[in-house]
Amino acid sequence: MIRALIQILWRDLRLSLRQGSDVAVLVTFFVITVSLFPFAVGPEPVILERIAAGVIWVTALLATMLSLDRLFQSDFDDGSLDLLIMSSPPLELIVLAKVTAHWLIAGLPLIIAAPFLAVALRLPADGYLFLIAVMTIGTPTLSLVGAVGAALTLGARRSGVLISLLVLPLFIPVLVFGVAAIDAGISGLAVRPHLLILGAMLIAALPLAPWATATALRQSLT
Amino acid sequence: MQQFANPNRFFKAANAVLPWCAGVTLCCLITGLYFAIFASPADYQQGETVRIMYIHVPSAWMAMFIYANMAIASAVALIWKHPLANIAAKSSAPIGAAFTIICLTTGMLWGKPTWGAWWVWDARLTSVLILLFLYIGYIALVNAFDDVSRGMRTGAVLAIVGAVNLPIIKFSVDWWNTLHQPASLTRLDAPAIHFSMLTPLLLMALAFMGIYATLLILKMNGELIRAKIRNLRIAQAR
Amino acid sequence: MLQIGSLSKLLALDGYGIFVWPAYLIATVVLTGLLAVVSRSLARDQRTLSVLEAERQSRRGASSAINQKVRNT
Repeated sequence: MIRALIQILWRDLRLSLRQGSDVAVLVTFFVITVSLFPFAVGPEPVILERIAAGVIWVTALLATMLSLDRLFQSDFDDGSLDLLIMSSPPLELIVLAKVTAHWLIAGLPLIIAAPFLAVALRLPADGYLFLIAVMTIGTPTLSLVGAVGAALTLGARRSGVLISLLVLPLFIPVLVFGVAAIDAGISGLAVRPHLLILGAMLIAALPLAPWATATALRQSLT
Repeated sequence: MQQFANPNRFFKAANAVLPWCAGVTLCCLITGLYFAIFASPADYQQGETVRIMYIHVPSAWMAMFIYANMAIASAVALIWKHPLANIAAKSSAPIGAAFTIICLTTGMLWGKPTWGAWWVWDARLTSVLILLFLYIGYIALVNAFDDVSRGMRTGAVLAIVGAVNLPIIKFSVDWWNTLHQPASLTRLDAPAIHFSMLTPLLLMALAFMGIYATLLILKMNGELIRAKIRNLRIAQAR
Repeated sequence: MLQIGSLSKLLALDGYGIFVWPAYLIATVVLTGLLAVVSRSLARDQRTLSVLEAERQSRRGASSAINQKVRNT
């Protein structure tokens, strides 16, 4: 069964990498959107470094959200989702495999791009390590929670906008504690509590999100 | 609960209850408004603006109560597949959203004279705003499918996910607010509330509860009739 | 207790009237609006339902008349 799950993960990775443009488009969106903020608020370092962590996180949320409808839609359209639902590994584990693939394609590039953007936004030097740590813990949670939204909107009208409406409120806790951790690190306050809470959210999402996603996927079958 | 699984029996029971419901609601509303506007004192700190509280607080209670109802009904629908549970959840959502909007707007009108600002990112206001987003998301999702029953089943999953997330969101917002709380914010924590203010508050709360019950019955009737219409149309198409 | 000295005093409410009355107004408008929308769609659905059921009855009536004829011959 583990082999089947790894095959599913590998298949998703290969499909997106074959496109190639998916990762590039996502990272480009990330970079361009973050770059809008200095145009909006002015290039003063004081302002930029105050908003840097928040801007990077919000843009990461938006980028994740935009990448979500790829998660199940193409499989839904060509019928392979039905096969996956009926295949032998439990649907929850299949979901976990697909979410892992999604994180590797959508989350990991963001984590790699983030420090460069942080330089552009004048994030203080103390913040970089925490930025990477926080995004490493936070983006899998975003992929997990986002998968729930993606599964719920399969076959719905205007599913793209609908996903954002459903998923952004659920992202808010990750956003709050993510930015707080980075800001705490910059001002020398305790970072561990925030990281622990982010970790707790990830651990809670690991069983709950696949369950909800699988339930929603089965409903799309009928 | 099992008895009311049959829609016709639900219709009969609901329509028997409806006039009483509406009547009691009207009584509570009239007496509540009388007490709220005329027969209660002005607050020594906030003056006459405290009268907004008699709308704002009950609507906040209803906003949260209705969401809890939706979550429980959705769980009942998913676990026991009670046929009316999803309909109850779908019918409750617009009513809950309406109370949330009333809560937010009356809160703004209360905040301007007392805090000096239309909107503050206070923990409670922010949480209620997110609750409004959750309501709107649910309504949008349920209505986004051509197949009505698929829409309701999907909505049920969303309602439960939202309910699980609600304490997490509340915790995050509370925590975020204590971190960022501006120095000059005065908290409107009411100490033990006096009987003369409690009366209109409870009366309005009862009235709002009655409004919810009345509207819920009407909306559920509508949903059941629409289900009948769909079935008839399918049968006649043969 | 609020002294109903005059209507203008009631409206003004020590200068807070401009906040209090819109609050009550918004609540009234939203709730009565919701009630109106719900009642109207319920009435419309009931009408549609009775039309459809009448059609079904007439179809049944017509087909049962035909069945009677067939059986009688």
